[in-house]
Order: sequence, then C-alpha cells, then structure tokens
Amino acid sequence: MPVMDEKTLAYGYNMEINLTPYLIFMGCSVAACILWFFLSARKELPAGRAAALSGLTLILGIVLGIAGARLVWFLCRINTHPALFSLKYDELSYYGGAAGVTLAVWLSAKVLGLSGRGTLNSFAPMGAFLAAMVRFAEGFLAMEKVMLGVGAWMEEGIFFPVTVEFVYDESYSEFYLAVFMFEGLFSLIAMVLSLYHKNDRDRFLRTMYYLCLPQIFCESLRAMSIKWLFVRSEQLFCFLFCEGVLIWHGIRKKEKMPSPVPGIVFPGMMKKERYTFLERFSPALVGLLVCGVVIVAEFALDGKILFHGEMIPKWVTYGFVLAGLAAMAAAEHKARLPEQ
Amino acid sequence: MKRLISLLAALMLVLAAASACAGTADIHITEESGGVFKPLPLNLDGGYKLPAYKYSKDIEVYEDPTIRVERHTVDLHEEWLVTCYYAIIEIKDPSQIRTASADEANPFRSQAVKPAKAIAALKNAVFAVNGDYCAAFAGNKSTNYIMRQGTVYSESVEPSLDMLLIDEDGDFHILSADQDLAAVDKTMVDGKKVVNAFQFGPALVIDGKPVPDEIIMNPDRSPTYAKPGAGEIRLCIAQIDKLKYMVVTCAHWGQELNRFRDMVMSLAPVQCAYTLDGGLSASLVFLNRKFNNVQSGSERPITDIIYFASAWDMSGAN
Repeated sequence: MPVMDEKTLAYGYNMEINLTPYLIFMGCSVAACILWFFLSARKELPAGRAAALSGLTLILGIVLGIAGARLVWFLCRINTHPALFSLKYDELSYYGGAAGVTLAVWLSAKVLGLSGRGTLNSFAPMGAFLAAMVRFAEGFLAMEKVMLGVGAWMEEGIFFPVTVEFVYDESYSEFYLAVFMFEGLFSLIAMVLSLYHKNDRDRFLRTMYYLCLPQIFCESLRAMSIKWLFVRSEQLFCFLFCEGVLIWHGIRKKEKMPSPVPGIVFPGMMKKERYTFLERFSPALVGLLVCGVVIVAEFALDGKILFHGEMIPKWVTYGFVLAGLAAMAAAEHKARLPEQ
Repeated sequence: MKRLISLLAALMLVLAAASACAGTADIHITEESGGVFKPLPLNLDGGYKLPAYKYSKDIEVYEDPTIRVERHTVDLHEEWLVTCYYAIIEIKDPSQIRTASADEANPFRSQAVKPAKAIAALKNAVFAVNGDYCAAFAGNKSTNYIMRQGTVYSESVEPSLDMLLIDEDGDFHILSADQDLAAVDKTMVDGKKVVNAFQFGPALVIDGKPVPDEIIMNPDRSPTYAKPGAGEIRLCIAQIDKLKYMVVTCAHWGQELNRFRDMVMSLAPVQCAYTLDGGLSASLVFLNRKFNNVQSGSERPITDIIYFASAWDMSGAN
C-alpha cells in the first residue's frame, strides 16, 4: 500500500514539476534587489560598509526568509501535525518569508551599528520590488499547472495577465484568474509609492501598509489559501498589520501642532491642544468596520449568507470589499501626524 | 367538421411522435459501434474518452457496454418537501468507480479547488459527484483519513466521523466512529484491498438497515457546519447492488439528515449509504454539466470528486 509520507511527497510526484525557471527567476530577482540595495546604501555609506550591509542582508535574508516562510506555514497548519523541517515549494508562507527578510535587514543594520529603522526605510522600495517579483515568479508554477497563486476556475479565458491557461492537451485546457499577477502589480504600486515618499520617517511601515492592504482583497480571490475554519489566515495577518498601524498612529497622535503664527505667541506660551479620542482612533475604527465587511463578504462568497435564497453576485460583494479597502487607505492618510 | 377533427388528431399524432423522438436524446453506444472493454488502471488517470456527442439537457441516460448512468430530477414536495436529484449508475468493472483531485500537481494534499465539472471533464467522467472535501484542513475534518486510488495521502484519523471504504471489488464498507478508527486496519477489509476511503459521514444505511436517529442526528458525528438537525442540502452515495450505485441530493432548502435518510431509502433498496459534503458543494455532474441546484448562481469549487468512467476503449474503432 503506497503511503504518501513526507519523503514521497517531497521526492515523489513533485519530481514531475520543473521548478528550474521558477528558481532562476527568484534568484535573479533577489540579485537585482540586493544590487539595488547596495547602490542605494552606497550613497550614504562607504563602499565597504555598503557591500557588507547588502551581503549580510543577502545571506541572512535567504536563511531567515526561508526559515520564516516555513515556520509561519508550520504554525498555520499545526493542527494537521506537519513536519517542521521540510522544504516543499507549496508548503511555505509568503508572509513568513517577508517577515524573515525584514528581520534580516534589521539584524544586518544592527550588526554593522546602523539604525535599524533607517535601514528598513531605505530597504522599503527594494522590499516591495522583491515582493512583486516573488509573486510574478508564481507564473512559472502556473505553467506547471500548480495552483498556488491562481484564483477561480473560469469558463473561458480572458487575456494575460487577467487569466492564465493550464494546457493539458490539444483538446483540453483550463483558465484561472491570475491572482499572482494582480498581487505583483499591487506590490509594484507600493514600490512606486515608497519611492515617492523617500523622506517619510515611516517609509517602511507605510510601504508595508500598502503591500498588505491590497492583499486583503487578493487573498479573497485566491483559490487556495491557508485557512483556520472559515478565516483565511494570511488575509487575517494583513488585516491585523494594517489595523495595528492605524492603532499605532492613534497612540502616537496626542497633541496637536501649535498654530504656527510667528510674533503672536511665544513658543513656551502656546496652549497645547490635545486630539480627541475620535480624532485619534477613528481611522482604527474604520479599520474594524472594514474587517466586519470583509468577514461578511467571505461568508457571502462561500454561499453561507444568501439574499432571498440566492447567492449574492460576486461583483457586488467585491465592490463592497474594495470600497472598504479604499476607506482604509484614506484612514491611514488621516491617521498620520500632520508633520509626516 | 369531421375532416377538421381528423386533421387535428393527425397533427397531434405527428407532434406526439416528434416529441417522443426528441425525448430519446439519450446516448446509447453498443458493442456494434466498435471498441473494446479494458479495465482502468489503479492510478489517477481518467477513463476512456467518450464518443463525440452534442450535449442536450434532455439527455437523461448514457450507456455503453461498460457503464449505464440514468439521472433523475423529481419533485417530491408532497412527501419530502424537496426536489430530489439522483442518479443510478451501473458499471461493469470496479475500476470504473474512481476519485480525482482538483489539484493535478499535488493531489489530495492541497486546498486547491475547482468546480466538479472541471475536474470531471479532465477525467472523462460520465458521472461525477463531489467527494468529502478532503482538503478542508479545519474543524473536525482537519485530521481526516485520505486514501484515493489505492494511495494513502493522510494517515491521521478523525475519531468522531464514520469512514466509508470502497474495496477493490467496488463494494462499500462502513467503519463506524463507535470503534477505535485509528487502530482499525483501513487498507484491507474482509480480505479485500481498499482502494478509496472517505471521512465525512455519517453513514445513513448499513447492511440495508437505517442508522438510528440518535447517531445520525448527533452533531458530533457530522463535520463542522454540517448541522444534522437543520434543513441543509444533503448528499449521499449509496450502493444498491454489486457494481450498482446511487447518488442522491436534494434542492435548496434541504432536509434534516434523518428525513434525508428516509427519502434515500424510499428511492431504492440501498445496502449502504454514506453522507458526503452537501450544501453548495453538492454537485451532481452528468456529462460535464452540473444538473442539481443550477439556479443557485455560481458553482462552489471543491477539492475532490468521486466519478464513474467508461472502460470502453473506442480509440481503435472506426
């Protein structure tokens, strides 16, 4: 009786899948990211230190990125008692990998005596670029009919990058929504935003926010995601991160900037005005409201919430989700301190 | 006047004959059409390709020398308050009852989903039904036992859910959750090799006898969300006789599980019936078209199917 143990799973039928183009693309993307990071660091640091920073980031990034990707996947699926030490391409968490790379950049900065926050701010656009490339790389998996980054099966294809085709033979092929392409494009948008806000004190945080926000939508489109009961766990991570950012902005936002009219009041005599609770935390409340909308939407998409006994059209459901996420983007803008 | 009546009568006869002819849109392939019977291999390949046909919603029977599928949609509101969809399937060889996963690259181990008709089309299924949603890694199905086409994909066992085993002769066996499922040999039953095993349940009929209400109405014996006491869309697969099966589901507002059991038993003398995933997952697919609950909008994509394929190889036929 053949049993699909971990060894068979790792070396059995997956041998048929050609991962080489995927791995080459990933390797090139990492190299491009690190080169860009080096060139960026070179503007602030001597060549040697810039090389040390980018080299250390590369080594630690690979180790911690993979370790983070596996650890988060393992924790998300702990109820199925998976093996911790296994490296299957489809048993890694994208978000764990991102967390691992972030930690690697921070540790590299600390080892070289640099500011962790400043280094992360510098790395933000490169991180967004890498996030986009990792998503685009899933196109090579789709060519191998691996359903990792794809969305719904579709009756008919549209065009790339909206749909991707799985060709079985001349007489049969299937079309899927190419969600990995949308995710990659959203990450590129986050990269552009990050480049635009290069003097932002919270550049890294803001970039992460705009990486996570569209992921809440994209995770919902995906055919396959790690779930805890009905909750898509990685969608939850993204939401928690975004909500955390909004709350953090609220906590920091205590006193209003005094009126900058020179000659009227001396700085020491200016009356400090405090923000009201609503002014500080209304963006976070918007976030909670959007969370409710997303939960309802997930139930509706799964057919557990019906309207007059019929499924709610998907475009209506997704329309609400997108409107909610746009509100969260506006909330982030409102939540920030005026001087930012 | 007589002429007019005669003319009308003749016209009605012609129309009746025409509609009778139109009603015989069923597909019948005989041995004379050419082809040869070949049992299907024990792997994840599909069945033999069906001959070219033009699909029509009037097709209710597909028949070739190795398989006969007859589908029905019946209004049972008077007695059971539902519309009932069911199919009777007869096969020549046990290899024709098969299973398939939505994920070709990582079968039965991933959460990848697609509509039952898409999985069925890839496997040349004559008839397909959703399986036990084996990759629902949540709730009390997170540790379910998964054996498909002779290979064990998950050895863990969910102790509270009955298990359906299909042996190499195509016979159904129920392993009740009353026993220690982890300790029982699930690879052999009555001296025969098990080919497919499912964990959803509960079993509705065992050895021709209904399973008592106190078992099937116990929520702990059903997977999360299945709620046996609620009016849900139910689905079951049943064995009627040697290599003869029935798949039943009900429409929209559904039934409690004990009423569904009684309805299934009223349709045919079933020997064994076992509940599979219902609700919006319930998909009865005949010739690559879902025919149950088609008005409820989009089809919920699923992880796995049970399907019946043809073993009649017509590739060499003219």
